[in-house]
Amino acid sequence: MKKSKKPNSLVQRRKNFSFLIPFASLRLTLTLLSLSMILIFVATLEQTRIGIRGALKEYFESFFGIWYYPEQFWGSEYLHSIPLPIPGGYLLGGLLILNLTSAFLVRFQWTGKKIGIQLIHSGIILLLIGQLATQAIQEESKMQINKGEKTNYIERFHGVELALRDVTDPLKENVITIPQELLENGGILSNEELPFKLKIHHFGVNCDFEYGTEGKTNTTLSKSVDRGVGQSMNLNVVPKDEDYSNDALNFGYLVVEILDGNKSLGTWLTIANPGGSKYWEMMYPKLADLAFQSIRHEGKLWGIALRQKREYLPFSIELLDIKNEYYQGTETPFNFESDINLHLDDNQTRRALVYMNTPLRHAGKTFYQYQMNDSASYTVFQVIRNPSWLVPYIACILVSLGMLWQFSFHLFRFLKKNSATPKST
Amino acid sequence: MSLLKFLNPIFLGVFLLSGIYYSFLPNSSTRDSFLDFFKEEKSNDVQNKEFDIDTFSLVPVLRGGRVKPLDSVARNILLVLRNKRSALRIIEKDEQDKINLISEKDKDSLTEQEKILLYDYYKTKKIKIPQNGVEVNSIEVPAIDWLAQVLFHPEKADKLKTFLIDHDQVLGLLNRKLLEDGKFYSYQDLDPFLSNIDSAARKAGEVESELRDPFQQNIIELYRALLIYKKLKHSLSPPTPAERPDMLEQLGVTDLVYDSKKDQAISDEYFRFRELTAALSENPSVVKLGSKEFAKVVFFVDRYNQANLWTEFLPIPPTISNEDGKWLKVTESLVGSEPLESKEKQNMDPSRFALVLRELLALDRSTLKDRIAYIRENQKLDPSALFATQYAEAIKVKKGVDPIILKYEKLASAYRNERYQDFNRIVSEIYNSARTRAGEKADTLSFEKTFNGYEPFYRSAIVYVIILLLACSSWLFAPLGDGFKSVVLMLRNSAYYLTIIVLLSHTFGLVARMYIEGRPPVTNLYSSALFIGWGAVLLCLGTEKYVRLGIASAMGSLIGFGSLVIAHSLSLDSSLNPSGDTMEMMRAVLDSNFWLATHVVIITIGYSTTFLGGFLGIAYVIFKLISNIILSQLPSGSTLQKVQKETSRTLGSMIFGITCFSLFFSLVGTILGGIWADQSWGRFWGWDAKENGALLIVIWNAIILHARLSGIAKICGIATLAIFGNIVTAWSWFGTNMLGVGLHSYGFMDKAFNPLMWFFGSQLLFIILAYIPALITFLRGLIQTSLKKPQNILNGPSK
Repeated sequence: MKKSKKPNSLVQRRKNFSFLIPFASLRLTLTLLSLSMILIFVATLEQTRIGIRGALKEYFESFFGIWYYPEQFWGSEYLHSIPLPIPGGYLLGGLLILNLTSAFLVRFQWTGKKIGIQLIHSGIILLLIGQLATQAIQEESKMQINKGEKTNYIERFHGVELALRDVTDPLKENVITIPQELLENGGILSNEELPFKLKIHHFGVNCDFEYGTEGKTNTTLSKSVDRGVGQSMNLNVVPKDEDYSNDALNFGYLVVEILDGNKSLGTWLTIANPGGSKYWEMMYPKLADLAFQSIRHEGKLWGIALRQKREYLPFSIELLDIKNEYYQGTETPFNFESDINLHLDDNQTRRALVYMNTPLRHAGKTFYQYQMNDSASYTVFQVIRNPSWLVPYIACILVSLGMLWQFSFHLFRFLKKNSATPKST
Repeated sequence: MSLLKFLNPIFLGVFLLSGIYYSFLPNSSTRDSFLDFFKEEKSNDVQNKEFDIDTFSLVPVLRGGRVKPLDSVARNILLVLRNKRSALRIIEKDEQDKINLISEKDKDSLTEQEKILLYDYYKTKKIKIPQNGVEVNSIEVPAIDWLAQVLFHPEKADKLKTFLIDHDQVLGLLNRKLLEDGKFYSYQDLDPFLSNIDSAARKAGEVESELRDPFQQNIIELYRALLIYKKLKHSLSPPTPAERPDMLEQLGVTDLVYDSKKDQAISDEYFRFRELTAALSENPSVVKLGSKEFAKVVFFVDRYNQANLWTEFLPIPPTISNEDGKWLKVTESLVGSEPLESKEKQNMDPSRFALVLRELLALDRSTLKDRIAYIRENQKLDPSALFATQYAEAIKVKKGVDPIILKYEKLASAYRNERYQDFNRIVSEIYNSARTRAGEKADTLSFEKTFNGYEPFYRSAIVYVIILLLACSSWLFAPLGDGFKSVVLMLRNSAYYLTIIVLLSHTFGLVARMYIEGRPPVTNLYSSALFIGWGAVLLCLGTEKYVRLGIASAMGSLIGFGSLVIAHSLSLDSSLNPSGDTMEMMRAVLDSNFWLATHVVIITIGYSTTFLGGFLGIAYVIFKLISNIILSQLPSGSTLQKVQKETSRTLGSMIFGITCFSLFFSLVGTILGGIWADQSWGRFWGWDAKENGALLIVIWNAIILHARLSGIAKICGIATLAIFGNIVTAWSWFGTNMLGVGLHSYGFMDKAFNPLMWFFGSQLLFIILAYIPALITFLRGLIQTSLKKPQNILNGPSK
């Protein structure tokens, strides 16, 4: 922002940006702040019902959220049915940025005496922008590694993909993945690398499934399935809404028909295990094949599986050891620690320890200790990619400097005024 | 008036002395005092006419992951069981009769012994409690005496009133009534009902913890209390289960197990077990299924594994040979502990187990240790091998019986037989040896014990009440005119100087906790309450220094007292503080002294300043109401009106100034929290419940500040806004913990819900009260205008 040299630059600015004057009002600021209090309070309450992710989606990452008075509270029999619109995070955040920026331009005096105020408010603007950016681009995934093994991919907590793996050549595997958006759109999908086409019959992000008994007809959804585990185990699938709660397990499902030209090769059912494909074998040994249902086509062996969306990394992490320590004679943990080797693409390795308050940062991603299973010897990292991580730091410095300036200025004046004699009435 | 001049300094002196008396010196409520910190370590010439309980109370043990003196163990457990730091002993009828008889005698005819008896009787404070509908006398038993009885003379301890039961339905289960039998019960009282309590608690346990009704909560609490008591009893002398004689005969262990007729102590059994294991480690080939010798060892290892569950603290300090510095239970020192849960034994392959064990026993001792460590590290899914490691450890690695076990047994026998000299000699042996073995972790033992006795927070609470009374009485004198100006000033000065004195003892309490824990001041909800009070009082002291109105003193002492009461009730909350120790160990995620010292401390100061602003708001509301009532009796334009205006303005600027502080600390604290979150979780902000709570405080303070700066809110406006700040802060402090969601939810509690709602309600009431004068003026104006015809409609609410 340029600093005008004219003595009454504020007047000049008010002229230049006169259209911003209504947006710079303090009353608007107060209204927006009060509305944010309501938003934050409601969204915090709602976390008990729909989990942090649900609250994020409904309230913070939206323009409007609809809130119903909680059923557990007094008077809910009258109030629960009334839908209340709550202004969302994007709306309030955006308006606050507009309000603050306008105030900066048409209301603040750009003088040295007020520099504290300006620093604080520019810091706040930056914090808001940073948070909006984070909200839009931050990605959360997890990485599970068994002791003594290496992993080179991370899996999203939410979101699935269809993986078609060509495993004909034991040395080189060719994987084609189809993202969730395409599966949601449905229709017939094709890919240059795929020798066949896929016709999506049904897709959903969560379901219940059970073994059908002989003679009992399948639900309409899985009726058409005539190949693979879905057919052999006579699986019944009942669609469910996505569960946003913190410990939710969403089993995505897909009924897909494979077409060679116009000829049908059969219809498969595939289900994604939220813990990872290898959990099929551990949790449901009978359904272990859901991790890899084979399809033979033109002399090639393909495996089909719906799985949590993966991202492959240019490096891999090997778990050497885990430590899970408790205070003696208690069940209070005092340390979770993973001893790892980071294998970089140029055949170099780096040793690292990941424990509480000390995550691994590498290639723009933060790996922090999330879960650990001592008896089964595996560790799970939460992996966060947040390219705008630096913004809050800059904002913090601005705010701190501004506050320091402002408050030391006031304190000095206060002390000077009162140093004469204690006042009494 | 010259009389006042003379009296004022005297009163000031008296008030200050009483402050020092309640803060630091031995007084009627606490025997121990600040002076105890300067007492020299006791010399060796212990009086052999009584038990040296002092040394006993210093013996280090491990409980809740922390090395602490037995004194703390005793106090903390009694806090859980009886919500007090003492037990009660009923004076039996014959004892009372005897006393009555002696006291009726002629004074000169009393023997020396009778004199002592009578002196002791009248010296101790007696508490009347109902017993079968009759009031009887009882005497407080200090925690450490109670513990000694529980550990060494359980038959006696079972008669002490140890358990607090005040829920009428729970009492109904025990066939008691609150009015007739009181709320304190001994183990003996409960013994016939144990199976009823057990089954009722089990049933209640099936209900999810959030849905339990008060009866279910109370019965579970009682069940837990009984469990703690039973475990405590067996911490030094493991239970000797009554096995069926024919089974013992069949195993051939009849002569080996403890027999109270033959054996002096249970350690005789331990030595016989050691003979068995020694023979086995000489000759590992015996280890196989169906071998009689091996079956005996299996019997004892099982027996000791069972006993391992029955212990409330770990009494055996690490030995020099025990490199990992672990404390042990009595039976654990013999056989170690099970590497997996017992039920995993079903998944064991017996022949493989025997094979692995034989292999292990063939190794020499040092390779065996390495091999055991290797198997435990690398074969976690192999129960056969894992259980074999425990047996190998019990048979070949562990040797002898720890001398401290033997000493504790002798101590118990000396206690039971009232052999003072033996007791005192052995207890100092135990203390010296345990202290040396515990190493530097035991350095704070005697300090902690003295700190326990000193009870700085209890003392501070008393002085806060005195300050509040002084400050309030200064306002009573204020309207009486200039003649009483000196009295007013004296009262306010007394309050101010007393605040300095109480702050010293409050600060000392905080610092002492920091020293014992080796942590920054705020580590859990309990300590946050202590710290919030402290911060508010400190700030009030600073304000009162410049504005000697007594208002800051009063509000500071109110918050100080309130926060100490809250802290005390938090320490009694069974879900928050199940072990009774407010210095519990911290969860892994919080284990960072740097962030605890910065983020947590600053955000807690933010809480305390916001509360202070809110309480000043309340002070403003009350002041305005009262002064309006007084002023309405007086003609307008009096000097009082001027005083009222000026005081209002001062209060307004105080609230504003405090709010500036609040905004500063809550914003900086929240931002630091964001940085901590980014450092450890990789994200700056996650909309977690606790984070949101902190953000609400920041936004609310920003609203107050901007409303005032823009002139939208005047003095009354920011006073009410500041009062609402109390609600926001209380929500962030406790409400978010009640939700039980998110990464920060380490202090879940639901009992605070009702008190919290009452607090919210009271604050809303104050906000409404603030507008009553304005409403009255408005209505009056309305009536006047309607009577006088349209003349001046804009005469509405006046500021």
